[in-house]
Amino acid sequence: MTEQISDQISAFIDDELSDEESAFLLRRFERDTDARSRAARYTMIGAALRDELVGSDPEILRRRIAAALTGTAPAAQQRSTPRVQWRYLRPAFGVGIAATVAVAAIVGLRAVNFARVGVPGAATATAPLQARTSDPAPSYVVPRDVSDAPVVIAPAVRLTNYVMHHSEYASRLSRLPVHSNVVGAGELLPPAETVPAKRETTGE
Amino acid sequence: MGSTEKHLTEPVARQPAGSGASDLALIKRVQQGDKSAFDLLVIKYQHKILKLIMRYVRDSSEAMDVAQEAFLKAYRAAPSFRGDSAFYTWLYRIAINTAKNHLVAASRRPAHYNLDTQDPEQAEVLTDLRDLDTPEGLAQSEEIREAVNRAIRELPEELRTAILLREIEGMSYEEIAQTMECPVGTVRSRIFRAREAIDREIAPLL
Repeated sequence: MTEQISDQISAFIDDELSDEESAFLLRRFERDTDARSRAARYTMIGAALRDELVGSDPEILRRRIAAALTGTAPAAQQRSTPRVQWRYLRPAFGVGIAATVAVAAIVGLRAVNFARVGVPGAATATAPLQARTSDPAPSYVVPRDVSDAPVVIAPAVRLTNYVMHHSEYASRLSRLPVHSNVVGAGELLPPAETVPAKRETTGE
Repeated sequence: MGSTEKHLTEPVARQPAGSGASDLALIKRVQQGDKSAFDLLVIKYQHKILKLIMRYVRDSSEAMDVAQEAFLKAYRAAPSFRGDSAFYTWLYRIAINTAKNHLVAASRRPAHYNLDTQDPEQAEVLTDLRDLDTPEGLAQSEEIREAVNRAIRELPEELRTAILLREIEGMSYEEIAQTMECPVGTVRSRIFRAREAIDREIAPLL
């Protein structure tokens, strides 16, 4: 900002500017926020000298009036807006943490399960897979030669273990569909008189 | 309300020196719907109006509300301003009436404090409590005041005299020129240079 403009601002706030200069300066004020700030500081100097400064922020009244005229929230309310948003964000943040923990737990448990069960052929399967990374990109037109591809039997082992464990501890009824239990319960359960006989055969 | 009555001696509107041409130009723009022109009027008179209202309403936050209401009333009433009096005189009347209305409304509301205002000692405490602002705010205002006074003391004699005659005595440039026996242009230049020197001191505080 030039010294001439500052000089005009000084005369303007004293109401000592000519009409021509006033018109020029008013046009400048429309687009020049620095000029406005300077005018505000110049008036503040006079207020300080006359002991007219009131309140914490000398410019707060001006901001409140401007906000009321433009229909926007004043500064004090704008500061509280992020607090309100944080209030609503907090549950979402909690849900996010819970989801992250759940995903970490699932991934961790999967890793533990794999380590405990073991994956036969996994050691041999990794080497060819790494070697195959240098192969050209797979084509959707020419069928791939899968004769040398490793046979990963991990799912079969897992399935077998699952069936074994399940059949060992699960009751007989729970392994059948509900409607089978209702309709064919009489056929599946052994006759009452055969049970003691069976016990006898087992030597109990 | 007895304790506040002593503050209700009617202040006299002291029209700031000057031709009023700036204010008239601004109010014409406001009448045409220019809100930024009204912002300049607020810049010019916010401290005066706030100080005026503080003579009626001692609590600074309440005074801030009343001052805001007064300015908004002035903005809404701007189309009816005919320029029969100076803008500041007109704004001053609005501010006084708004403050008085506020006091009447406040007297109808039940008191929301437990201190016994009939007891002179407690009434004094109450007044002091209402005068309190936040410590940070008071510190900032005090810091600005000190910076301004320090800068004033360091000014050359002719600059200090010019700005004090303007800001404290409220003289026009013409009157200052007669007092200091120099051209009006010199007065204008001295006041500007004084403000620039003070502004350099307070700008970092804002």
